Amino acid sequence: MLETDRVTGRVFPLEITPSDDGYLRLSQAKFRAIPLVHLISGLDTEPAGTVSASVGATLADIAGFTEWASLTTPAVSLGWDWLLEAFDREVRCLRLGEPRSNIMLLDRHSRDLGHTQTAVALALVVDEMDWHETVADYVRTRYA
Amino acid sequence: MRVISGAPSGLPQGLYPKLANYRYQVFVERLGWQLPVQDGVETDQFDGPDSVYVVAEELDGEISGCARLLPTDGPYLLSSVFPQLLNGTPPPCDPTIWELSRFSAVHLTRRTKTSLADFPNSSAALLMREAMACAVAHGARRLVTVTVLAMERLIRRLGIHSHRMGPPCIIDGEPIYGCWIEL
Repeated sequence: MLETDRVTGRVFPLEITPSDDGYLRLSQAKFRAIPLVHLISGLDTEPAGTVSASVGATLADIAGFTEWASLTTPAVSLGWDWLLEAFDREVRCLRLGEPRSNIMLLDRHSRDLGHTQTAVALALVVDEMDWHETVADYVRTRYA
Repeated sequence: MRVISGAPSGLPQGLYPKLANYRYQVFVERLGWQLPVQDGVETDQFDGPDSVYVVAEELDGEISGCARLLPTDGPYLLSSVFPQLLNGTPPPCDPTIWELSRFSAVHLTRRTKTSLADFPNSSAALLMREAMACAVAHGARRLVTVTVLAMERLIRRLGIHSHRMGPPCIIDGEPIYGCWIEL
């Protein structure tokens, strides 16, 4: 994977190095430049809005999870929960909660955004991604 | 419910065999994990004198939760069995980094459903906090864990600072993650 220096126009390999604490530290621009591929999606067995410590919970809402990753080494991991919602005779797949990842985003001074702000920023990225059909098609096939 | 913790030699007499049977019922019978079992008990190569157990016990003596803690300067699950979850990084080997494993907050005879509003006070939340406190008491500053999605969500819902090591591995259709938990 390559990145382009904005000043000189030179092209470099995109380097991702894990930090000692396990985070992959990336600027938002670098993160957005990394293509993510769909790994797996699935349905939840517990109703959205509840937490069950037991198996066999009743499905009340259609909700699930989805996992995406980069093809880099080390790999970026990004996963989030989703919910199917009926709106104006349409069924929409909406992100539920903030994503889970191995990423620490950096501000323009190369300082950590922090765990919480990174999750918020990643949520915005997810909302701009074209993931809904991929997840819907995968789930349809998986549970057919 | 009370929470008891300690190495096998430090647990009340009779508790460890009950714990091994509880683990069998949860991880083997209910969750279908392929684990070594014998005569209705579940133990593996990481159960030993250096392991620390956190056990939730009800007033009637029934076990309703458990966790296992191991220091990473010895063999542990993530490094020995799931190194692919490390995302290409070396496995931690540090007495201040411990592994949390075999976490369960399942009450075998009582189905519990907790609303998100009540979750911070649930037995699962209490057990997780006790396990983290126990790890800290043994000198841990961070935890690693091999976990499933439900556990990752539980940790997140508790407001615990955790992050993944990398993408999940898919085992029997279920994503399995390596995670860091910051204490």
